Amino acid sequence: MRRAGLGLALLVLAIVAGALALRLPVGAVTAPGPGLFPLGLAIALGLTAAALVVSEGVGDGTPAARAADPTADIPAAGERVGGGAAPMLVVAAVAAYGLALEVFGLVVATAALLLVLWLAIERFSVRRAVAVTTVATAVIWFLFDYLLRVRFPRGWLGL
Amino acid sequence: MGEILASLAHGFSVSLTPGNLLACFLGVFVGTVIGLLPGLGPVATMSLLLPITIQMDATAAIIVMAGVFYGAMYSGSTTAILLNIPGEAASVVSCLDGYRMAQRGRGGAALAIAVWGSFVAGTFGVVGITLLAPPLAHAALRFGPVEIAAVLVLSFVLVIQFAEGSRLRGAAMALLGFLLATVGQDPVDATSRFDFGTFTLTDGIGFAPLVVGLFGVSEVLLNLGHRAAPPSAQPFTSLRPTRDEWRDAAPAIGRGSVVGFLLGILPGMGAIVPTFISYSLERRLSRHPERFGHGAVAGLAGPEAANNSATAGSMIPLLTLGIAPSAAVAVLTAAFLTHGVQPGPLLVVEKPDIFWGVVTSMYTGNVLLVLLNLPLLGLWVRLLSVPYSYLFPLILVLCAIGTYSVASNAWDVVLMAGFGLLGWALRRLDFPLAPLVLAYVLGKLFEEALRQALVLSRGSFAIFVDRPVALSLLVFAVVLLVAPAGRRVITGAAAR
Repeated sequence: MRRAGLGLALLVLAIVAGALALRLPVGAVTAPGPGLFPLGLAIALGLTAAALVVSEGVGDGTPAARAADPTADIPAAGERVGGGAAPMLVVAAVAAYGLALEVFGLVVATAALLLVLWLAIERFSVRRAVAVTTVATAVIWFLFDYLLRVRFPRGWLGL
Repeated sequence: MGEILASLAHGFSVSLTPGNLLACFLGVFVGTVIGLLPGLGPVATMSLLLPITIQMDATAAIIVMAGVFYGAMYSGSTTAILLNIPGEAASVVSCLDGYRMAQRGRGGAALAIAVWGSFVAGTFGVVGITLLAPPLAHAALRFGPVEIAAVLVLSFVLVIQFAEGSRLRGAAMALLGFLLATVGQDPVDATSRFDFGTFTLTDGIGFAPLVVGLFGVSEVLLNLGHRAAPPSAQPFTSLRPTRDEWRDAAPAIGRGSVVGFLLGILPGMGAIVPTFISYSLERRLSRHPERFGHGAVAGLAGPEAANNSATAGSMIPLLTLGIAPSAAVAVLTAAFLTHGVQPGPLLVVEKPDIFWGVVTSMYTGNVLLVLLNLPLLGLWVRLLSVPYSYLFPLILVLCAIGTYSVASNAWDVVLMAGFGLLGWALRRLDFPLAPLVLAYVLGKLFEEALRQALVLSRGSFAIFVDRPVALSLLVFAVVLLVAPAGRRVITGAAAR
């Protein structure tokens, strides 16, 4: 069922992509425009996705299909850490880290991300999380900023 | 042959001077370090080093740049094998079986196979340059957009054919990869497509956010639920491959060296297509194809060899014709031109010191890479004994920093996180990632080649039939597609 759901998502993506491609000059086969290739891809993806929905959706109701479903063990959203909530939290934290890099700089942003992950995901004690974060952030700063001279914004504190 | 040996001797007398030897070591060392970092590939590094090498002698400067190039290819597989994070584009395939070997406690052996396979293939490639450069370069010139499009179609069919899971899912992933590749500027007339007016997407979706997210971040997300010892931290049983592992690896290394070298010469191929084709070939030839994707030694050895011999092969058009078949070689071309040296057919005649100096430095560089990488294997392996609860946040920071450093764009990190979530969902639902990545990487090249072919033929697809090389490749692709169904029909008829 979840594969069929992904197939449905791909179908929607194909329809949207096709609609956007039609806004571009499509041209003709003799002189293809920028919209022709994406339009062709959108149609092909739409057909493939539809086939996926049909093939993955059929047979879902039988006990054998349910037993064979590799998605059966995917935890529902909102379960304890290690289940469906953890990946979402981690992804949100990493995305926020990217934005925080430009505002707060490497050191502060990295320390914040590591603290969040060790406290919220791994449930470290505050003392352990702070200690490990301090050491790790120092090593990361030394390696990337000092040694490799990778360019990072300095942030509010100049770090 | 006597003339070639004399030229090699002269080349070694140039490349083994203390200054040039140091330049070679500097290049391979920087390349090795860069290859380990996801996102920061050889192209970006070579571009950064270009202004610095202006101060150097021409031969030394080009030796440094070449060293960075193949050094990065050498070490890019380390993080792919140990952490499922490809260090650079062509290491993506190493994730498929190399990482699975690490999960079974054979990571040290996998690294050793990668190092020795790279050495053998790199040396093979340099010997190929020495002996075959001019005739191969002229043959490669005959590959126009029609033939390139046909090679790419064959590559995609091979990858879909042998991807894990159903072919329908593989095809869906390939089409999704193609669609992602259309974001940004149209490759022919630079019209903006699907960028929604944002600066981040003007040049398309970056390679680093997509690949690091799909492989590296998704791997972390998949392992979050493991409370026991995580798969990647199984104790490594040995750093040495067993006799059986060498028996599986050796012929794959040989085949990969040839495949990679011949395909690396072709314009636009880079190293990623040869690695995928080598993987598909090994799976096809294997007596145990079901092992591929679960730690098959040949699935690592062949592509690793193809990766490195393709790097050497890609130097041939540059050295003999002055044509850059890939982005990295284009930066190398800039290095030549910056020092007033014109690469091309006259290079070997007018500047034999530089030509043979660079070629022989690649022999030396291969030896240095083995000496550099082998002792470090134990260090990399020890890194994985760190408990995963400590390791995974550091992996995420490494991924984010590597991705950010490519274009200093925070939104690339956001994209990486998003692709990480997508990769997590796709892998949980058994959708293969290899077709998506291959289609994404080569999508623009394929579109450009296809459109140029259609313009040449005034819209007629018959051009693919009129060109014998293209026709042969497409017929092979069709046979690969229909063969399994045909086999089923024949087997069914025989059973009745």
